[in-house]
Amino acid sequence: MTVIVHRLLNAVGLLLAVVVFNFILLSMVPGDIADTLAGESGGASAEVMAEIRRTYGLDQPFHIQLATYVGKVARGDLGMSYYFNLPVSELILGRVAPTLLLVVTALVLAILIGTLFGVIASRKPNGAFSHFVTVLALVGFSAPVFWTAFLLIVLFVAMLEIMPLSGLVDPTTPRGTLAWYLDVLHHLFLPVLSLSSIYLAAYSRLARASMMDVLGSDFIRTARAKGLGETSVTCKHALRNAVIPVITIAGLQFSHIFSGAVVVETVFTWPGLGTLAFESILRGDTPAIMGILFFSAMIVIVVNLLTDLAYRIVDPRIRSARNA
Amino acid sequence: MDRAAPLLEVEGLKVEFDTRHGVARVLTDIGLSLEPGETLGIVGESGCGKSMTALSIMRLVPIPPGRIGAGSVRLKGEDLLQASEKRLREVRGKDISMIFQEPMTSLNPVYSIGDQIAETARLHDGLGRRDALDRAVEMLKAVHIPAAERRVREFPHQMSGGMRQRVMIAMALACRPSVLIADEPTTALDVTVQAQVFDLLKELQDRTGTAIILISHDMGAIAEMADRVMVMYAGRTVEEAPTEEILDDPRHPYTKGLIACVPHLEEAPPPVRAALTEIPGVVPALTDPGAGCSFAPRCAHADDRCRRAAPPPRDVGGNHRVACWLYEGADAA
Repeated sequence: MTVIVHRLLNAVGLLLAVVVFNFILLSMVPGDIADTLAGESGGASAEVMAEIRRTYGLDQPFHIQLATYVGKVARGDLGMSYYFNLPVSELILGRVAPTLLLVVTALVLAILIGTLFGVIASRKPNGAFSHFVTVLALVGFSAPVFWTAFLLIVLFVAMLEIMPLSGLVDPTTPRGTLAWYLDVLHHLFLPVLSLSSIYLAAYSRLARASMMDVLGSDFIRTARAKGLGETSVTCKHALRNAVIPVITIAGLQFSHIFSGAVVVETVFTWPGLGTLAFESILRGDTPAIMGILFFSAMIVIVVNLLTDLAYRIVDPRIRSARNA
Repeated sequence: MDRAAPLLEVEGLKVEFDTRHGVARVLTDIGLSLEPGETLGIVGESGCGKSMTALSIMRLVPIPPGRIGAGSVRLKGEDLLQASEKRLREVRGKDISMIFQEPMTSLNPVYSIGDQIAETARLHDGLGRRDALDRAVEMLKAVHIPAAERRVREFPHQMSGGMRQRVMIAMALACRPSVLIADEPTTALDVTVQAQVFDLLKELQDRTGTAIILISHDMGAIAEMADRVMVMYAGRTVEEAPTEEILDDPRHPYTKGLIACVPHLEEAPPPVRAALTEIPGVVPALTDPGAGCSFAPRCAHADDRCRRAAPPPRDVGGNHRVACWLYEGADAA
């Protein structure tokens, strides 16, 4: 129990650091909301600019601005978006579901299929399938995700014409019906395929290496000497040991996959946090950018906590070491 | 001597490995036999083929790169080398069990020891979950693990090396096998724990009548445990005899060397210490054995003939067989 409390306190400290760091970083960006508005309206007088800065509290000394922002965040207020004139938290909550749908689906598929590929490949390390996995890993790892996405669009949208080009759902489909859900899945296919391709490559390679390592262990020899069949040896004795590094990487990559999502969402105009982040940067919408950064930091920290829990379920050594 | 077919009989076993440097002849013409309740010791330096003999009996030699070239392994008359993989899985853990040199790594770290012992009982004796766990507790008691009911739920990392080796023994004996192969079971353990493990093996053998093949490079351990001793060198059997006989009257120069290597505390009380003896040289590469006796390069008695041709094993009386040209004259006896 104390371990969990300890981890939670750590997480809060980390979040505070993220907020302060983001604030400092973004305040170093040249130009502010007054410049942006002035630029959009084709110029403004010094008085108007000063007025705008006063409205948004930008005339205050830096440390006061920082303290005000941290205080607001602590109360759950992420500020107002300059562009939408809506609370940032509302903006994020409206966009989080499509992103989670995309990211979680892609990650889960990549882990499951990647591990399966790796396990099959490890059984015959010099077999054709194993070489296929190695090549797949190389291609998947080297190909930029936007390039993969465009190739998929060329194939599925332009040539085969079986997939929609962009968006979350066809706006003419009635919301909440079965057809609507199916249409979302249909739209989800290409973004998920693009995003998971890189990670699938990584996981199959990792699972293959990890399995081969575990299959050489003494306890695998023991399992065989007990009279267990190859299926039990692989799926029961080897796999549970081999997934430990996969869990580690999955936890670490969850943050990574968020940045991949920005690119994929932009390519497919998927209405998630990624497109919001991308557009907010173009619009110079500082509160929105800071809000999104804060939110993704929070997600990463939560996922790390969950990874830690998953470890404790799979590996008894960690369970007792952390309880001690 | 007229006998029925032995419990386990290995004949003419030949195992080869494909390596980058050519074919390694890991085992050449290995033969052994084992009676119920008997203990056969196999001794030799590292790399002489002791463990490979054990793995070949279980047919656990990795194929490829390994290959069982010739020979037979008959358990109660059934040739395991010809048996199907399915039949072999029934034999492993049920009729023939094995314990290994590395108790620290031979148990699966992510399953409780109870689960690992119970797994064997469920697999071979068809026990249900609960009955199998009861069997696990019973086995832990049999190997003298205190608080067996509690420890059955523990994981390997929570136990010491000696305890883990006891768990391995409990697991190996859970289905009352007729043969237990112990491959250097105490090498990784402290001396005091070694003695405990040997005592335990003896006690369990007395109770269950399991035949044991004890593999070791430690002549002392063999002297204490084994009824008969087989000495291996570079994949061949060089000498085989009852334990007493081989200790009193070793014939092969290699066996003599091995026995001389064991330090005797009582003979050399401090401060006057006898220098420890050693056998000069190392085990030859198995990829290039040459035509002669493989021990010839390290042997003080070697002559031209030893370097030309390998000596066949010959009987020198008293169930004592030795493969050495020195005893050629004794062939008729």
